[in-house]
Amino acid sequence: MRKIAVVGGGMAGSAAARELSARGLQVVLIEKTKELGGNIREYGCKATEICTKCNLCLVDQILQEVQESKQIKKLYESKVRDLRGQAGHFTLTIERDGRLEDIEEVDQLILATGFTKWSQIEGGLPEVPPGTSRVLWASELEELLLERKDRGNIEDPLSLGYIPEKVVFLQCNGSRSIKERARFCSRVCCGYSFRMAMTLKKFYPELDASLFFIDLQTGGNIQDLSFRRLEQEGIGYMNCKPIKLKETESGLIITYEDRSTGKIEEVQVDLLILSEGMHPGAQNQFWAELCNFQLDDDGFLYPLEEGEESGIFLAGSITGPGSIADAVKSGKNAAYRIISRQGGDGNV
Amino acid sequence: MEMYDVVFIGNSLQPSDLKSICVEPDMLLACKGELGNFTLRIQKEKETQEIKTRTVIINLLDIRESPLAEVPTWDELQEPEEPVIFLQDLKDLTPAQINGKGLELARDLAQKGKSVYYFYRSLRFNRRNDELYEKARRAGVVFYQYRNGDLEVKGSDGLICESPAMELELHGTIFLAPDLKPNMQLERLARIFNIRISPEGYLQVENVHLQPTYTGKRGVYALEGARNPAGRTDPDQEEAFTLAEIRSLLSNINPLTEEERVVDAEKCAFCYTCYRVCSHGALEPDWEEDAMKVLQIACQGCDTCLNVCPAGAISIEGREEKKKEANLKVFMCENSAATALQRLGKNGFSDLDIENVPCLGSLKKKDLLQHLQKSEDRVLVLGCFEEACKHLFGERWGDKSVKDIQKGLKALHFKEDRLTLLRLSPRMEKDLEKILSLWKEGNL
Ligand code: SF4
Ligand code: SF4
Ligand code: SF4
Ligand code: SF4
Repeated sequence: MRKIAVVGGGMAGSAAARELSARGLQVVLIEKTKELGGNIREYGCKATEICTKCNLCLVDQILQEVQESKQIKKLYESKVRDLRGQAGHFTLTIERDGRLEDIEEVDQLILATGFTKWSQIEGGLPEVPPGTSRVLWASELEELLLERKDRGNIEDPLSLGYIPEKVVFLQCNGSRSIKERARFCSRVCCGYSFRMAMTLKKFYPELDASLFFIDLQTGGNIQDLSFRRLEQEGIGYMNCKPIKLKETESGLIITYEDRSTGKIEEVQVDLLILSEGMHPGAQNQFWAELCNFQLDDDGFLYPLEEGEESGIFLAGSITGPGSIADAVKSGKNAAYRIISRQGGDGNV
Repeated sequence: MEMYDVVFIGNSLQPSDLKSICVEPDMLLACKGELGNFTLRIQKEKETQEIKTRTVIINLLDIRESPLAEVPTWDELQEPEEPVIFLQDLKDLTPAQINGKGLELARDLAQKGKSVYYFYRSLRFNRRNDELYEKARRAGVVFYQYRNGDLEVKGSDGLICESPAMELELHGTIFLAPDLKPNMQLERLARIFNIRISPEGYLQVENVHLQPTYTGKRGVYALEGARNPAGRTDPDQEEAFTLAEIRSLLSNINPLTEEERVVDAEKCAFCYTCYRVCSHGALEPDWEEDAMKVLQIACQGCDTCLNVCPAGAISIEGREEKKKEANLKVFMCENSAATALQRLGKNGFSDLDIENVPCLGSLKKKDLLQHLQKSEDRVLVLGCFEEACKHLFGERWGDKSVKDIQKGLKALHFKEDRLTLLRLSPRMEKDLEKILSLWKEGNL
């Protein structure tokens, strides 16, 4: 039986591989790191007393199934170097352990190579004081949330080293700014900042939390993420971007322009969380050239031909920013399209 | 009788490769059956008839209203007087889809040389809106972000916007973003299909497992205005996903669980408890037997019905009830604690009797009590957070069972903490490790 190659073992690629294998198709999953899960591997639960719909509950069962499936051959620490042939008979050259090897007779291909976090590209604006522990990228807070300590007599449930009294979430970092090479909205950061604010307030009930924002997006499958909701939850919001950050003994001083009054103001906080834009994956250019895809103005891929013709399907944030649920959805979608085209073998 | 691949309730997407038909929501009287084999009873010109279909897509528009009676929405935009004023977010933040429509109309007018203002509190982005926003700006649309309380509409032709930074009085033609309300038919449809409806009146409750277009019942999908407005930002993709899933399903419909849940028609009191409790619409009255029956394809195996049936009429075919000895018993929900334990990777808890259950909803009081017979017996139940339950409301039933028993223990002057329920997520393996070791020692 011929096989489907999936490039990228993040959520979109894993969801696709799972769906294909559940229908009896042979899958080769090519992942550049040592593990599945991609960017979200180190993310943590953001439930308070109730679930805040961060979507992580969708992922671990899928990842575990892919891990255990015998029908999915997993090639870790592998990178695609070349692609030849056409739908039905692709040959992929991959590099593994410093050696090149060919995977022949690949029937169809799913590209799910994901995005690059803004924090991996550069620091952004305003400049963060070096060595500070008072500024965290959202993904760093995710890692702390993964280790959250909910039970027992917990002094420092998020291992911050102190009890924060005032926290500010800085939205639209590495998004919606030509300077930061992204005119687009990353669409997920408003939602996760809201969730993180809720979770922090659960752990530190006295906490004064607010969002510095440009626009407020919806929060995935939360019915209503609005200013009213923020007010209800006691989360402040301020329409501006900071100009300067300064660290002192007692905290971090943020200088900003209050856009409603036009005045320059200062506020002192214990903790500043920087949202992170979802930028195009480092390999998008490579894939565009190799597979004859168009790169859009923002650097994401869109196909010139439908996958049904070219044999190459795109899934996940290779086509633009999106949530975990979006990645699962588009991974499944690509798999479904392949299944209904050539049918599963029926043995589940 | 011919079998359709899809019946659209409301608007058809007209997929050319699928055999489909469109039914107006008020024509639909009843639905029987499950994914792969639904029978819909419909009323057509005073006659009732039946149609058969493998899947159902509920695709209805919301009710759109102007937030201000005297001012039209941009759904009603016609040759306007200049300047043209677009105004959104007056009562509620406008969903991305509607926002996109406003941006598109504003851009078109500006490109025709009209003077256009656009007032908003928050732009909402999806795959199209970034580009539309940029184009509208380039075409000369003047955007103004106002704050709550800053803006006052003086009628359909003027508004005043006052903030410390700026003061502005404008006269022209105002068009508002429409407010969305759920279609009035949704409640009826929820009853007909036996699916859950959100407090806001949509066919998706807030739950990550229902994304993108699932309703809880296999084979019944909610699109457009049938979904909650926040969830739908990219309707084209959601439509494409739903049709792709249906196409792939049609070649191969399988039950989700290997074991069959069956109702003993002799014991069943036909009380409808299970029917109301199942979040997956997997129970159906069987009028020939005068008993409930389980639809095997629709059933997702949460076992909540087994727990709630007052007559004990539902069981899993072929499964023996185990006799249990251990005095430290842990029940773990597959979807949270058990997944977390697997993430933990090691099992240093072999002295605990850990049993995985499909859902908290499946915990029978009888089983819990059985593990609490001896005075040194203790039971720990670990399940999902509220609103994270894969079976939507299963966890509530588990919670209820536990609370009832705790009450009983208290009444008998036993320690309530011999039975404990805690909640966590699959990503809280560190917490799980801690819980298990503390609980083992008895100092949770
Ligand atoms: S907040 Fe996220 S990880 Fe936690 S229960 Fe909800 S969906 Fe699951
Ligand atoms: S989702 Fe929110 S924070 Fe992120 S880029 Fe968009 S508007 Fe900014
Ligand atoms: S086991 Fe769960 S899904 Fe199946 S019929 Fe019973 S309540 Fe419904
Ligand atoms: S709950 Fe039990 S007795 Fe009541 S209808 Fe269902 S199967 Fe019959």
